[in-house]
Amino acid sequence: MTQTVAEQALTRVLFYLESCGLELTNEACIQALQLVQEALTANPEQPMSGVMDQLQKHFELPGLDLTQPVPPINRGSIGYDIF
Amino acid sequence: MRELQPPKSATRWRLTAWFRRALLTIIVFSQTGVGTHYLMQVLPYHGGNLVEQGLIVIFALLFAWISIGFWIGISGFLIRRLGGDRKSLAKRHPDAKLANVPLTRTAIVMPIYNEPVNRTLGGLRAVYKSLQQTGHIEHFDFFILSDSRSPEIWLTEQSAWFTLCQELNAFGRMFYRRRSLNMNYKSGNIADFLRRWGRSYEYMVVLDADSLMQGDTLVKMVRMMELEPQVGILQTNPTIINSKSLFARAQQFANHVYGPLFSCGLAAFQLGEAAFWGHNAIIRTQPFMRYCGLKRLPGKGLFKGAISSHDFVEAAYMVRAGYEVWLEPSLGQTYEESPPTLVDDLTRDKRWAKGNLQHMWLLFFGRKIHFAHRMAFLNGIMSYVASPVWFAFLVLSTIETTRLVLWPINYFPNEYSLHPLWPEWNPEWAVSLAISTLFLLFFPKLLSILDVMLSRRLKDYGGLFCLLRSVLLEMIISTLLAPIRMLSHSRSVIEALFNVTLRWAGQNRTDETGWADAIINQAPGTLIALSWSGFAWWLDPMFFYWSLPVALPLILAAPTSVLLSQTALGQWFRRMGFFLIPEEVYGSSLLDSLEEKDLLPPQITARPAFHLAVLNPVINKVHCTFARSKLHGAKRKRVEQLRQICLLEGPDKLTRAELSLVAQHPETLQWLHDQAWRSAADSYWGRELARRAK
Repeated sequence: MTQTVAEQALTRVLFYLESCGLELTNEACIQALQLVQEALTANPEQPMSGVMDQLQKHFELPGLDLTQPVPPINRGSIGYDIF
Repeated sequence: MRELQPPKSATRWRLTAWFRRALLTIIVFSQTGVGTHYLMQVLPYHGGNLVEQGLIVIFALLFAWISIGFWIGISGFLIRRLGGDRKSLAKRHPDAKLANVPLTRTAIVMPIYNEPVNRTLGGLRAVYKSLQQTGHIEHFDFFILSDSRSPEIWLTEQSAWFTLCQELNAFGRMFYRRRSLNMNYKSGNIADFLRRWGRSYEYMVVLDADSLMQGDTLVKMVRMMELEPQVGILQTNPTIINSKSLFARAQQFANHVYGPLFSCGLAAFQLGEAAFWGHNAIIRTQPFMRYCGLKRLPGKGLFKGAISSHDFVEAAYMVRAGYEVWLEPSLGQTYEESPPTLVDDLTRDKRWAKGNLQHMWLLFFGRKIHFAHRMAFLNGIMSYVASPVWFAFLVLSTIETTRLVLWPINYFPNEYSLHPLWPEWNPEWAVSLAISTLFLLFFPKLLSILDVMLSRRLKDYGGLFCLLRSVLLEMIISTLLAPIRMLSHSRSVIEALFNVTLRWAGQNRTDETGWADAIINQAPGTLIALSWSGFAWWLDPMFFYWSLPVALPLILAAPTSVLLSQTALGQWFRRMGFFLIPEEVYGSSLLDSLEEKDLLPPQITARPAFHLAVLNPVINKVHCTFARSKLHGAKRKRVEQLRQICLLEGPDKLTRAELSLVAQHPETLQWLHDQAWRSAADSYWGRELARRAK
């Protein structure tokens, strides 16, 4: 059976939340449903865009603190002598 | 630049080194003299014509070469029987003394170039965990130094780095850097690291993509360096591990059984003027930065441009500056992998041949380079030049035989001689000479068996019966491979001397050789061998039988190549008790750690890395953190066009270079991520998301 727009939107939201590392508890799913309802009501022509806009308002997404992917540079030089 | 004052060694070793080397030289020269004299008696005209003179010179060169290896093996055996070399670093510092030496900041660096990510960073994970178990991880930082060009590979590397840091809680200790400009190969990669961070670390341990080192060994090396401030480089003797194919397992076995003798002997002659092999070694960073910079060669052809085999040169420069370079075979649990197939091995040799031949420039024009390192350069050059020399010997032998069989005997080869020269045949002397040459080649292997027995390590190899039959099989395999290598190395030398461009690509450590590839690769050698042996049979049956040890392996080169590359065959032999090594008999924590699970699970590696970079919110942020490029003007407009194409039609519509441009721009990556998640269900990214969500 082809998915409805609402089902597609819900799948996308849940997949995004899962990809962010959020656990999909019952509460999270209920919130996702509410989010989809609001998004489809506000922006029925662009449902996917709508749900992604609403996501930040409904969910606190885990941040990623990538401190020091490389350490501070301590610049030196290479000496080149005779062959 | 500030000059550094290398401290003086507390232990005197130079006189010992001089004495040992002088003794070796006298013995080798004497033995070569005897062997050459024998050959002169064997040859019909006793060197009375140009062809025979050529044969004598070539024979002397090859015989001396084999003799050096022989006596290094003998010396290694004797030293091991005496309990080790009293001049070695390990003998000066027993473990109890080392345990109290404080550690200092050390960088463990792994330069990589288009390597299989799971294996490479999985190996680094194993090293990290091993170091963690020593309780001294806080003194070490890890650097993944990537030169990878393919965006699919370096994006995967970045994802793997993130996964590794999460798994090991290694943020702030494990770092990743990718060079956007790949200058001067691996040595340039290391130099870039040193320019940025070298001053922060007292020592640097260099690992290759396939290296494994036990944490205890790393800690011990740092402590040894602390106690020996005049040592610039301490090189371990890595043993081969993790071999699956029959070819790699034979190499691995030979390395384990024969390696201790030869490495011990080599270390005894080199002492503080040893070579550096580029990996599985610890380096004192400040003198390395000050004295080991590699200038581009100023000559022509092969002798123009970056030095590709940098390690030998860096060791020579370190010693020239007054520091010492030591090979310490007693430092165990340090490993590398073998190329899985003959084709991969010969491809690697092609690069190394060029690198070693480049050293001729330094051999002849290098200033103030110690004699020991000039000999190390010569040794490296001869490793490859010996092959065309051997080939020339076969050619001259064929010419000599042809002349003797087809042409009338020339009783006056010297036109001014009054006396005729009667050609003499002494076939029994020829047989003696052949047997003595075989003795030089194979006796050290038999001595290795004795060494294993006397050091009570038979169980390491599955027992005496397993060891003996493994050695026999290894001898058969190496005999089959020797002529194939001879021909391949000869070609590599000629290509290098005429400067055919080589591409420095990542090594294949996984694929087997197919029949089509093997036949095509080995066809030239097979055809030469068939023609030669056919001609030999026509010329003289005795000459035909003499040619067989070289011709037959070349004729069988294709099936040899295919069969040796088979992993299933390698594992079958392993189950039958062939080519066992201690790490397989007793287990190895490093190997267990390497094989416990893939760093990146299949659901990640099964899809293109660029898709993951765009779609996965976490991975997208990781890549945005690394992406640094700032674009303006025309380039910015170009990237904006490319991102539109990527959004609407997918990344397959972009070339590799375009994909790289997009993936290095953080704004574009972020934009693609946002737009992809907002895209309609029937769009490219909408469908991709639907597939992944299932």
